[in-house]
Amino acid sequence: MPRIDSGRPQRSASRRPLSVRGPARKPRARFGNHRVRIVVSRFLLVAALVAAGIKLINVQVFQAEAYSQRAMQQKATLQKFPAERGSIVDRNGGQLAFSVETRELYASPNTMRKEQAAATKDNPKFDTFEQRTQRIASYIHQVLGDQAPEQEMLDKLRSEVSYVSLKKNVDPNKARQIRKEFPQIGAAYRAERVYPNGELAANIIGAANWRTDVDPEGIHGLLGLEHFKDDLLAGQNGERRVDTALGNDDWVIPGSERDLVEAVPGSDLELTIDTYLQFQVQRMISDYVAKSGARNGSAVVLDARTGEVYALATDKTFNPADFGGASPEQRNNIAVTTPFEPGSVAKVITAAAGIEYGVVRPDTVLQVPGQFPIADRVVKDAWTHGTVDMTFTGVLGKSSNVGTLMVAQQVGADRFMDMVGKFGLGKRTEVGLPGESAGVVPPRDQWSGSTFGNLPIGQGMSMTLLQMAGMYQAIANDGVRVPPRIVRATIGPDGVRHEEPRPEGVRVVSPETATTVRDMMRAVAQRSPGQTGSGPDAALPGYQISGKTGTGQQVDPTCNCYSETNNNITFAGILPADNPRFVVGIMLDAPHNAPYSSTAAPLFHDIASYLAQRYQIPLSKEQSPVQILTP
Amino acid sequence: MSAPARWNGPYLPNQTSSTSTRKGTGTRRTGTGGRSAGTSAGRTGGGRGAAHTPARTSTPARTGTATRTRTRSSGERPVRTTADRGRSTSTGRSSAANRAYARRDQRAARTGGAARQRTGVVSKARFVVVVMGLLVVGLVATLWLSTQSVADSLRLQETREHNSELSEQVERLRSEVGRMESPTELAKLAERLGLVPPPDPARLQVAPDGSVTEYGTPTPATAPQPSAPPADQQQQQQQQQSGGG
Repeated sequence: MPRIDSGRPQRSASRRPLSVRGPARKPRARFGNHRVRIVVSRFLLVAALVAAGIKLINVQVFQAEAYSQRAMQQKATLQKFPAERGSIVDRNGGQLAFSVETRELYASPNTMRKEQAAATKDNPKFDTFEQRTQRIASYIHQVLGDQAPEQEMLDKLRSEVSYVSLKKNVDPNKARQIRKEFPQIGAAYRAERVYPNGELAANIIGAANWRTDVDPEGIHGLLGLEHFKDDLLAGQNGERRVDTALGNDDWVIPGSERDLVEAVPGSDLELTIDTYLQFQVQRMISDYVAKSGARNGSAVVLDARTGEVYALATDKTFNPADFGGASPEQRNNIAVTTPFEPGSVAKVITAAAGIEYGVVRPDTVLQVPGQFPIADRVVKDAWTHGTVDMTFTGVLGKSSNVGTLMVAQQVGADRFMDMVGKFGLGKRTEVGLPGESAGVVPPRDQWSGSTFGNLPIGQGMSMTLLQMAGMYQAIANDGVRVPPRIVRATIGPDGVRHEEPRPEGVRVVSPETATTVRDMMRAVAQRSPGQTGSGPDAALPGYQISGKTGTGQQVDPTCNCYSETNNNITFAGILPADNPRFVVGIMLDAPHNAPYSSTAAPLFHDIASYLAQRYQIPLSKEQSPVQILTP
Repeated sequence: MSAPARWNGPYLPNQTSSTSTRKGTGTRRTGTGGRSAGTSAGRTGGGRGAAHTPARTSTPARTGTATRTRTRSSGERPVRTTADRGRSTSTGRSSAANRAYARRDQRAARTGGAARQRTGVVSKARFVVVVMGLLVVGLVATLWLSTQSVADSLRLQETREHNSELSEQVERLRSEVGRMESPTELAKLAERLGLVPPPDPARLQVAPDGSVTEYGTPTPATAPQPSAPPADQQQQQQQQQSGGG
């Protein structure tokens, strides 16, 4: 069946020997070529493999470290995310300090000089270094305006250094614009601390700026709360490792992120300060210091119930944005750092002890002589008088030293010192501000004979303004002293508000004693015929005012004795006395201009008047009854 | 298409190799006619050749043709012989008739086989096309996805930049609000508008019986010192504008 099989090539080739074989040989000839090809290509492949193997071993074993190091250098980039510093806000959420992202423009003049020289060599059409820097300087000036004078930029660009900082605190948007035009200008991440209120409350907040000498680099506080609470405010920087392309650190290869540590922003600090009150108090104290010719002055407003500091102002303050130019006096927050001898304001200790221990009552009549001899000294009153009859209220109201010492002697030194301790003198209030002083109270075993003739009238011991106001806060708060606080809450990075724990109150005197002393001290601000107190200017019509004037003699360093001319003029008062809301403490250092040099009562009046308006304090139900000073 | 034409030569003994393709197609037509009429082996041979030709011409790969023929021949041979024997013994036809029948059967089987082969070729071609299609689709998809990914990462970068620009703007505005809100600034602005801090106010207390008691003496606010002429104010404003810009 040859015909049937003819359609099948291989079978037919075996069965039909003729014409089929000829053409079938042709491929075989090719197969022969192929074999040669195979041998050749096999040799080539093996040779290539061996070559590759040698290269592989060379690269992987002998040069491995060098290459991987170079690769790492080329692509692995550690990127840092700066943590945003927490802001500082006042009790109403008003901004006191916050951070804004900025850029610092820099250049590498030496590198630029080389680059431009090379470029002009290749193509003379390119800018020379001089032309280039000129263009850059004028463009920077055009974008940034007056804050970057063209000549200054030009001088910096042409300086012979390898790195020069051109401009700090540049708006990132403008920095981007400049970099787009001139990629040779670098822009480093920076943050600027902004104090929208300027000098206001700078004595409390302090100042912070971008620090390169601190690790990690970033905004760090140098003064005030910014320094004191730096750990809390700063947060923690984050970082990640990425691979970048072509040596450009900005070109991140997608998906190459690793070792990611998220940045943790700093906590916000909420203060007890009321910015508006702080502004007014600061303005008033500055005015009064200027009027009275005092060396300096400070004032504090405390919440009568909670001890929160509503305002803490000194006459001298500084601009936190330029604190480098501030003098040490300006930076010093004297209200907490500098203790002073308060004078008669401290008579409240004797008054509280006398009432508490039942030694005297407000209407107890004392026969007050013109002078009081104690040890080697003789204490007199501020005005000359013979022996007069005075109620204890009168002793306080007229601020009689002799009368006070008479009561103090009856109280006794130990009970007096006990009361001094309860009022928080001689130890820090822990208000939450740096550099706080504890003041000086001579310990009982170091007393000289005349010490007990000094302490009850506010001499021979020192206290800060905050301690002084704290004593009156105890009287205002029915005998419980709550140590003052200036940080109200911290707001964590998660947005959760953590109230600062309220300090535990210290029971100083009984509520009855506190009320009695408060009522007695209304005599100070009253003005009635024959019953005028020592600080009638402090009175605020419509409100009962309770307070105490003070004049503390300063120590003259030349003779190491009490000066006859330089006094600390103080005032501490409670508004309103019948339902205390605020305690105000004022201190003026050595005022000289009459009539303001003798008393701080008018300043108290101004502050109290503003407080009454701002916090809409209801008028006292009844006006202060006339306090009987002399029987 | 010279290669398949050359290849046809050895398998078509009754025809010259040069005309095989043309003739083959021609005889297929006649072959179909011949099949129904039961014509000679010469024609059927031609038909057979024709039946192979399109299959061979349609597949350029030599090895493909070879395997195809091999499988076909191994499958067909036993069919043919049993048919031959069975028919010759049971019906008692002449051997020529038997052969004719056998040829018919074979033809039928072959045409069926050719159809099978054709479908095999088609399915393989389809498979190849499908694979190529998949490759192309895959390539296109890869290209598209990588383009998309690059575009996305670009967009992401742009969006990030935009985002940071916006947050910068927020910061800028916030600092501006902070500055304008500050009492220091407000006091300055108020002063510029001619406002003055009020002196001591008087306070009124309304008793339950409706009587009003006045505390304090109200005093009129004193006008700001005339030492600040408008020119100075203008200057200040200009300074402020340039500074605030």
